[in-house]
Amino acid sequence: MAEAFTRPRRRIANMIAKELRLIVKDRLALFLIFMLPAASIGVLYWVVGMSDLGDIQLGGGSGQGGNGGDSGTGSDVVLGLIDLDTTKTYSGEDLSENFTAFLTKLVKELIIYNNTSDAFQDLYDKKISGYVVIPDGFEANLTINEPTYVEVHMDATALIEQSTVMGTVQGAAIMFRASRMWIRSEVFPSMIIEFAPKGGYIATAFGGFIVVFSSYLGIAMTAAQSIVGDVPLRRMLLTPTNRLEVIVAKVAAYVIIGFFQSLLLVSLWVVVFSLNLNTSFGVLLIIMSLTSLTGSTTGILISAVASSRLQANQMFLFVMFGTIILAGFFVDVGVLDEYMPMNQGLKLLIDTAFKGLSLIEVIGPILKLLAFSVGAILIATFVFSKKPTLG
Amino acid sequence: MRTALVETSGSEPVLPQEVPSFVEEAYFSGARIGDAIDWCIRRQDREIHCEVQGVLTSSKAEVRFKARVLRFKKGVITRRIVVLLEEDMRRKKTGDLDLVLTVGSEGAAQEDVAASQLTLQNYLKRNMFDDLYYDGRELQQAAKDLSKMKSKEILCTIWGHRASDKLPMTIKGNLVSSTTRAAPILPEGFLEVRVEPEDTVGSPKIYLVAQPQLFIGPFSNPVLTVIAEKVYIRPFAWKEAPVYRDVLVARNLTVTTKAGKKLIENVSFAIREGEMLAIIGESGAGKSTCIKALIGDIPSTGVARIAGIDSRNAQKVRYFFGYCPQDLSYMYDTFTPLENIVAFGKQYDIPEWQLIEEGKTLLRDFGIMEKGGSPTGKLSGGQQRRASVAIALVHRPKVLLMDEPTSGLDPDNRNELWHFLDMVNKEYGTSIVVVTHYPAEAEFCDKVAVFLRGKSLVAFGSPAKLKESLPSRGFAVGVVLEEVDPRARKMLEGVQGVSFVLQRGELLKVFTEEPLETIAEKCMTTLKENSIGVKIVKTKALADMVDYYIAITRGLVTGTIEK
Repeated sequence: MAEAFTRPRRRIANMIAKELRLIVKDRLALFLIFMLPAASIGVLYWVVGMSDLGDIQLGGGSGQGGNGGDSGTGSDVVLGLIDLDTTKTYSGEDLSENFTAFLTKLVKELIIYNNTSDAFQDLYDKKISGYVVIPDGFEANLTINEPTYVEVHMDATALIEQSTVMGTVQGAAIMFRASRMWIRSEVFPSMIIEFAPKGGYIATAFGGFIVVFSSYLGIAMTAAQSIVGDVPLRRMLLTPTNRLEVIVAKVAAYVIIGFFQSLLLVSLWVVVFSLNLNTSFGVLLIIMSLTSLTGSTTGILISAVASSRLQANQMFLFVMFGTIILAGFFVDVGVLDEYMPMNQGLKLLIDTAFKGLSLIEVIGPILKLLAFSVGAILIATFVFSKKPTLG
Repeated sequence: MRTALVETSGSEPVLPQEVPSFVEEAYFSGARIGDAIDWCIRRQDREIHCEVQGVLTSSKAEVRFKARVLRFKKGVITRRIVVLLEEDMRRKKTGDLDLVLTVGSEGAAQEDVAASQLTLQNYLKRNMFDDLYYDGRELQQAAKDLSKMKSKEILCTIWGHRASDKLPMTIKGNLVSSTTRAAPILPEGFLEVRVEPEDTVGSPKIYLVAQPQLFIGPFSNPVLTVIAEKVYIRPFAWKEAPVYRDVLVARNLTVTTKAGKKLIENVSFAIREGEMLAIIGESGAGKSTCIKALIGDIPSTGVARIAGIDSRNAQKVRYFFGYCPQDLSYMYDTFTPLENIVAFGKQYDIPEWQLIEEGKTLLRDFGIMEKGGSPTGKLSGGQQRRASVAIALVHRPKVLLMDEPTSGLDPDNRNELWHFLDMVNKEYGTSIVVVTHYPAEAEFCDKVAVFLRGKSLVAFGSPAKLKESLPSRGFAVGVVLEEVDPRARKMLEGVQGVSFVLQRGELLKVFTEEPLETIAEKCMTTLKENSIGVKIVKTKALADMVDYYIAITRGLVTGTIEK
């Protein structure tokens, strides 16, 4: 009975070793798998050096505002507000309350908090998209024509919402100043990004995206050719190796590749940008390996379904476009966000590396990724088993 | 099988097809066992079988049996041949003999059998058996050898006596562990063998097998300790094929598409171990479909068996055939030939060290050893083909299936490849099935199967038998014209008594049931009357497989299927 398990295990191990040997012998494949993603980190490094956005510091209170931002109505935005201004130097109405009133006009709901910790918790729980802190001395500064600022705290992980929140606050500041023409000084919204490790904004946000992107789509791209492009595999299938063993071996081989790719990328990401992530290196590697697993199973599924390399390329391209569009970076994808594998990978990275959660606390996305992988393996095996070995 | 090479050994008449394909036979009296051992030593990499007549030393009963030679030893005192019993020819008289027997000279008391007569048969093929034999005193060497095979299924049969009461006993079971350990006097080897209960009642027991000459310490239970006398080891015992008559059998084999179209229908043929079969036919006639059905790659109805195993039992049957595809891209071209052999061979659960050993032997035999370090993609077409065959043979299959190996090769290379396949067939004793487009190549094979589009298998048999089904048992009037003339064929077909005429360039073969000389004269007259110059006329030109193939595809003869 034991042989029923040990023999397939040995065959799978042999196939994994063969796959790895094949990749090691293929210098171009090695280049594609390791050097291209590493090069993208290098490009990011160059971009950070060139871009003004790269200077935005995260997690501190000295952010700067006024860098563009649209002036959308922000009608769907729920914001929090903490009014710390105690000064009463203007003879008319309270200026901070007046600013608050303009802000109320531009948002769906404005929740007033008494302290920053409650607002921070609600931001963490995604009940609000951001919160504005009106500092003490807001009114005093304005009455003596000195510039003042309001702190705008935003979620580093909600990239789409950031510009909306910023635009809303800027809109409120413009309307406030327009209604009080005597105010000659500026009201600066000071952007403060929460839940982000210390480091540059682009390096952190886009670096994280590149790492997940490479672990998922990079591995999926390579794995998408692994069955359809492996002509000698047909001959291998005339040995006692069965289809499930082939699929499992291929998935495992690409997970191993993904692990080393992640190791390289995460190391580069952390070292090059001197990031201080809110989780351990080990946890990060586990998450990246999980993302690689889903990438690998996605690719293998494509490869099992496709009948030619061209079909596999086409399928991968559409999967890639779909995955990027639905990644949540550009549009709100609603319920799909809960099921798309790369979204779950991003969520895992954000929750651990940015928000500092442990693996146990993010067991939901982990189980989703594992379930996706098992499902993809089974479907791939089923589809693959319907194909004749010798064509 | 090469019946032409057979030297008959006994007085009993035997059918040619029943005679094994040995080519050498030698006879020795029991007193000349030393000479017999010398004879074996000279052929030690070959498969040697024997027939022994003698006396069982334990009971003094006369025995006669057929066996395969496992080992032989010629020392100053010891002269012994160890054999694996294949057939006990006096079974009823003497009771069951041991599976492994030691044979000594006439009057030898220390061996199982004192031989009076020995007949040794050298099969002209490599010894492809994995099994090993050790004397009880060589247990340390056995343990060392077995340590290389760890974690594999290894079947051990040990003859010896129980340590507790010296009772003779035989145990048979799977190896659990093998160790060499420092004993009080000398290092010794131990095996642990897990023996299943014979009647399935009770639980399996693990016996410790120890060397006979040394003291056994109190660490082992004497009831479960066996002092070994003979140790017979069969690695990968599960690979054993059941008893079968024909190595490849198709009976009423039918393949139907989902749309209901029959690709092949009621295909029936069989080949014996060591035979070569050529499958010839038109494109789309179902040659490759037949092969796919035979190896269980596509669903089929009817019977398809390889080495006695139903092809639908895909997981098991795959151990018994090797497939060599037409396309040379079915190998990893960045791997060296040896790496390819190891990569594919490992899937048969063969340990790497053994694959490397086997692989090197194959590459050496195939003349590409010096290319062993180059990537397969950089080898020439012929060398790649050899590497591909080596991959297909590394697990020692009973049947090698080759799909159009000669397509795209020039005549020289085709010829070379067929000589190579002939060598593989003889050297390794592997049955070979070759799908080919060239009917001429079928002459190299023992059997030929002809497929026609829409009719499936139309003819099967030896090339000679098939050609005999042509008029005048395959003899024809051969006419060589001075130059090609398209009128000649029509004219000769008009000659009275001529069945049909086959033309290949200047050569015309006139087939007839009439006396060949008469028809030859008539043909000459007709050609002369029409001013067609004739260079040579042969009254007894022998048909070849190309003639047969053309005749059967044009419907000029009816195919016969040899049972």
